Amino acid sequence: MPLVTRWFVRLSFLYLVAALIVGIGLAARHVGWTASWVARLSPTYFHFFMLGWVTQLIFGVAHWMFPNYAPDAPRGREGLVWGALVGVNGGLILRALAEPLVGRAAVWGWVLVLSALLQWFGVVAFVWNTWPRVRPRR
Amino acid sequence: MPKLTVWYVKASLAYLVLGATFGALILSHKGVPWAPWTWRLFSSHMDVTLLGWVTLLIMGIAYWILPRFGVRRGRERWAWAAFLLMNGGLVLAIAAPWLPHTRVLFLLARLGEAASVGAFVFHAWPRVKPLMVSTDTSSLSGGQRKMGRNR
Repeated sequence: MPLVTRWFVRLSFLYLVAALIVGIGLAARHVGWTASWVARLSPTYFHFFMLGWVTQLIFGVAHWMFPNYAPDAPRGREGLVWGALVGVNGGLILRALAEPLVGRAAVWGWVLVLSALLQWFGVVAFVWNTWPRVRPRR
Repeated sequence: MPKLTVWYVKASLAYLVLGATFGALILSHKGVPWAPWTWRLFSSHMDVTLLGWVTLLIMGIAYWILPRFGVRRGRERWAWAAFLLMNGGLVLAIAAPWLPHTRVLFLLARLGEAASVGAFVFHAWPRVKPLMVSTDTSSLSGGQRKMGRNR
């Protein structure tokens, strides 16, 4: 299992745990046990689940298992895949920090823009590397 | 990787980029308001990521790796139909917020997506079966026979 796959898979496990903890916070909000700002974490909950858990697990396993790109570079340009890891995780963490604070100071709005760019870059970098590996058997 | 799986997986990757683009536009507007129209992408963002990215990927990989019947994959035309129906439904779902008769188009999109899932289940159902292995163990060693019994 390649090193970057191990990072993707382990981080995906952590996001699953984090998503469920945020989910507990959201549910506790409905019975008044957590502060009102916790309600703003609803999109974070969904994105931890869908991007942090499901998509990262797929990224890791696909990078490991998809057909080889070429004999001298079996998994394509690994730098792009590391870029995807940094982009997706950097974007998700910035999102979790900034989303409850948007509106309090202008800087948090720009942090959210940076988060959007990082997540988008992470996805595009992964697809860019993986696209040529999706092909019929030679 | 069979040709239909290539179509499924490449379509799912394309929908992933599209879904991420919609999401990035919505999130950037949430941070620094610049284009209120981005909220109209919200339903497309969810359809494209849940059905276009995750579901098409799962269908494509399932078509590839589920047990076969000899060299054939069973009701292959149904898997092709599922691919076409899902793409038709998703294109309608993406276009609907920008066109007249939005609700009717959304209904048609949902019908296409549901029909796609139905067609794929009809294709895949008989392929969910135990692997066909020989029961003739006369040529195996004692250890191999024991492993076979525990399979």
